Amino acid sequence: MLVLEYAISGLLFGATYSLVAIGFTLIFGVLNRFNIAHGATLMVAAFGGATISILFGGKDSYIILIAAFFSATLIGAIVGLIVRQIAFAPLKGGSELSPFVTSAAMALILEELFVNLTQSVSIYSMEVTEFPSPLENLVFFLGEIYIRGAYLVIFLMALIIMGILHWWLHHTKSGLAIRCVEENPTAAWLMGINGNRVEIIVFAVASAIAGAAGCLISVAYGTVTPFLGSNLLLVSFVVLVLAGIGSVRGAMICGLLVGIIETVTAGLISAQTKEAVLFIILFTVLLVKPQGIFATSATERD
Amino acid sequence: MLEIHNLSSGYDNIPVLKSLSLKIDTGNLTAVIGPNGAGKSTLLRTISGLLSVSDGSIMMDGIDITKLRPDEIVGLGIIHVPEGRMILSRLTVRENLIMGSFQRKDNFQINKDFDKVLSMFPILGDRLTQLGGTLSGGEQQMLAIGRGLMAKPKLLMLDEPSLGIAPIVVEQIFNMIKQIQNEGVTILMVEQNAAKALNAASSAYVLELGEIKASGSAKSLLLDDGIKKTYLGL
Ligand SMILES: Nc1ncnc2c1ncn2[C@@H]1O[C@H](COP(=O)(O)OP(=O)(O)OP(=O)(O)O)[C@@H](O)[C@H]1O
Ligand SMILES: [Mg+2]
Repeated sequence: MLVLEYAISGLLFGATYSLVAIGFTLIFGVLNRFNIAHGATLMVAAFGGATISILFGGKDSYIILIAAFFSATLIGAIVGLIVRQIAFAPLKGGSELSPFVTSAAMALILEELFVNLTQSVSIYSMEVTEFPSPLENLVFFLGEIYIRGAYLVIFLMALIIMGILHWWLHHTKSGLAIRCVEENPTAAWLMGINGNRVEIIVFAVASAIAGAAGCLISVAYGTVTPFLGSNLLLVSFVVLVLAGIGSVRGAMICGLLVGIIETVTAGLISAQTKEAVLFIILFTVLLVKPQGIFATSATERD
Repeated sequence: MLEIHNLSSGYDNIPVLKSLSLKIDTGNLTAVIGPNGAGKSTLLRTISGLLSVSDGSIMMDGIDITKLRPDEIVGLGIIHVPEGRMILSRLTVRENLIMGSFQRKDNFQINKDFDKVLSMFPILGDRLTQLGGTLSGGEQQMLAIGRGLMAKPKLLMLDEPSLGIAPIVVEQIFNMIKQIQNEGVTILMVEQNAAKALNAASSAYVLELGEIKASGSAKSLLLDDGIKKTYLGL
């Protein structure tokens, strides 16, 4: 029974991993570049949400929680666009490695900035800053199984976001344009799609999703720290490699999978072993299917 | 319709086209023939804005398009069906066609054009939900042309529509190209199959090493001894 309880928590929480990994993979798909600042973007957005919640008494108010969520999403989009402008746009046509370095530098700068802010701004605290929310004490029972309300809420929100994203990418012209640029930028230009604009849209959307995920994760934790992003970036790397880089659907499913694995290991063995188990599974998958579970072939990707 | 004046262009530091001039009349089918590496594809890529112009000018119906972006050039009705077809393999046939009309807002007319493309290439109608990457070479070429038509072209530029396709299908595709022209679309066609191209075209240019070696009515070029020997194998 306990295993089932862990698995359900893991599944629910894993949806946030899916969100982070989807944003990461979207940007990679369109630019063919890794955005190392994706995690830091998420962290900044989470602090934005926490700030609103702290300032306006978010402990008891669902309205404030919703406001915090949408602010975090918006902040994510804005930070993402700034990252693109500074770390990606000037290096267009250069080596694939240069934005890797510049975005990593931006991640470090943002982390350091928030380490300093948490030390100097009184509403934050040095170790962990609180993210008050009315979901903290909400629990459900499914028969014998105990489910945290926060987990249920983040799962539902994540599903909604992924549903909208999927619909957009498959059923609207602007979403299909993203997939055109992803597969063949030259063909996309010849179809009248402005590749530069698609890049901007993808950065904004992926980073907004990261911001939403950052808010949901820190609501679930009840806290936020400047290093939230770098931890999650590592997890989403694992998700991506498992899924096969570039597969949005794979990222959705593998995010859930990683959530389950993590929570079950942490619950049954110990919190310290969860990363070790994750990487063992990662290596095994890479040995058996190096291209990732979901990247079956070029034509079947997605 | 299109006037190219002293055009030079190429890749990074490799010049390919050297001061090339060319004129396409409205309603005509103009062919460009020439050996491998002559710069035929480079010419189309330059017109469609994929490559930047280092010298000279390109005018479309009196508008200077020399410095426009590819999406702006598409907006003016110049549609390039590229060499290798560039079908989006992970999009369905239907999605490929619909995305051809990306910039258009006239949904009613788009639907009509969609039906028209399917009546021209009925095989595509049977494959609408199939992924582009699973089509045969001939079907992909039809899809590429169909996708181009969905953009409502004024000038349709076709790069080697016969490449790698069985003769019987080539025949079919050339018939369709003629039909497209008859419906009022101006066509610029690049071909290695010189005999087929010259028979379909009204006027033609011979491109060698980035320069125009000969030009004139397609009929006169078909009768030219030098061209007969080099390009028609007669
Ligand atoms: N991406 C590129 N980068 C550098 N040089 C290129 C590139 N593409 C083509 N070239 C060079 O430009 C010249 C003209 O190539 P182009 O593709 O225009 O020839 P083509 O006439 O279309 O030949 P084919 O009949 O084989 O398609 C060739 O010498 C080719 O090597
Ligand atoms: Mg060519």
